[in-house]
Amino acid sequence: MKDELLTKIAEILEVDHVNINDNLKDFEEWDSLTALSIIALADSEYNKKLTNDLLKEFKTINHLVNFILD
Amino acid sequence: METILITGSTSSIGKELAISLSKNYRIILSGRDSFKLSNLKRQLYGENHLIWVCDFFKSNIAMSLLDFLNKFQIKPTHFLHVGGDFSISPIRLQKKEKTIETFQANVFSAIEIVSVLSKKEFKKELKNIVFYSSISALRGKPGYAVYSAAKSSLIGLTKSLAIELKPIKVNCFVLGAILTDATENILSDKKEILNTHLPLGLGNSKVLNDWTMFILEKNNWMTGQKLIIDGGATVL
Repeated sequence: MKDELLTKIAEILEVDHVNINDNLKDFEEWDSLTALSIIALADSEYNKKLTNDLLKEFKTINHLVNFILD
Repeated sequence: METILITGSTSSIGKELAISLSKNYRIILSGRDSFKLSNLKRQLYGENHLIWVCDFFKSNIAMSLLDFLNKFQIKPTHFLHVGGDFSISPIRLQKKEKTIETFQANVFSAIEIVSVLSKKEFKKELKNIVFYSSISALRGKPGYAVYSAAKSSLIGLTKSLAIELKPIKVNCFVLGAILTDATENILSDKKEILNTHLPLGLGNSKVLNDWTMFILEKNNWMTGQKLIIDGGATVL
């Protein structure tokens, strides 16, 4: 489940793979549209309501993954 | 009594339309969730309204509609296509299935329904077709490409159907930012900014009620047109 989510996040960020300790803002593709895609992913496939404000508080991939899989 | 078929009737805008129009018309509520539809039916004025349950993603829409209309011996007088599906995604991540879904809910469903209602047995009764499009059809925004394409398609349909189906009036509302259950997620962060930025602020789900009544009830000599109802967004 976690690996699957990491793959999906990597696809959105357009990288081969992501590590849980990576900083979200360090990714070249990190922008408002990417953020929207992550919000959409959390909602449609994991039924988690993620907001822009909440997403801004997440520093690393780990924070994001923990929230989505919680 | 005239009958109005409303797709997407359990959406915020569809619901307001159904309730307000139910005072003077028989409403056919369409949607895929029979529980939500029954709840909505109880909120309508009067008793003779009907529910057409159809999942636009899975069913054969034309066949399902024909069966329904024949079963109840109904010929709709007006068709309001409120139904749709909103999703945004960077174009690089756009999946074919999602593209088909967006077009299915917004465009293909409308085409199938119009194809049924324009058959000889129904066409004589039909007076109005109204499509509910979006200013995304006219304005660009990142992530909106496929949604824009689908909503633009409704404007294209409006023009040619107005000619092909005359004297049935075919018109299209092009809607700006309206705060509904479906847009709450996208707009909530920017509510304050939008309310000051847009000349008339954000719209609410009731703003279409009077407009729709005007189209259905007045001899307004208008067909094939798009009406931009956006609180002034596109003149900025």
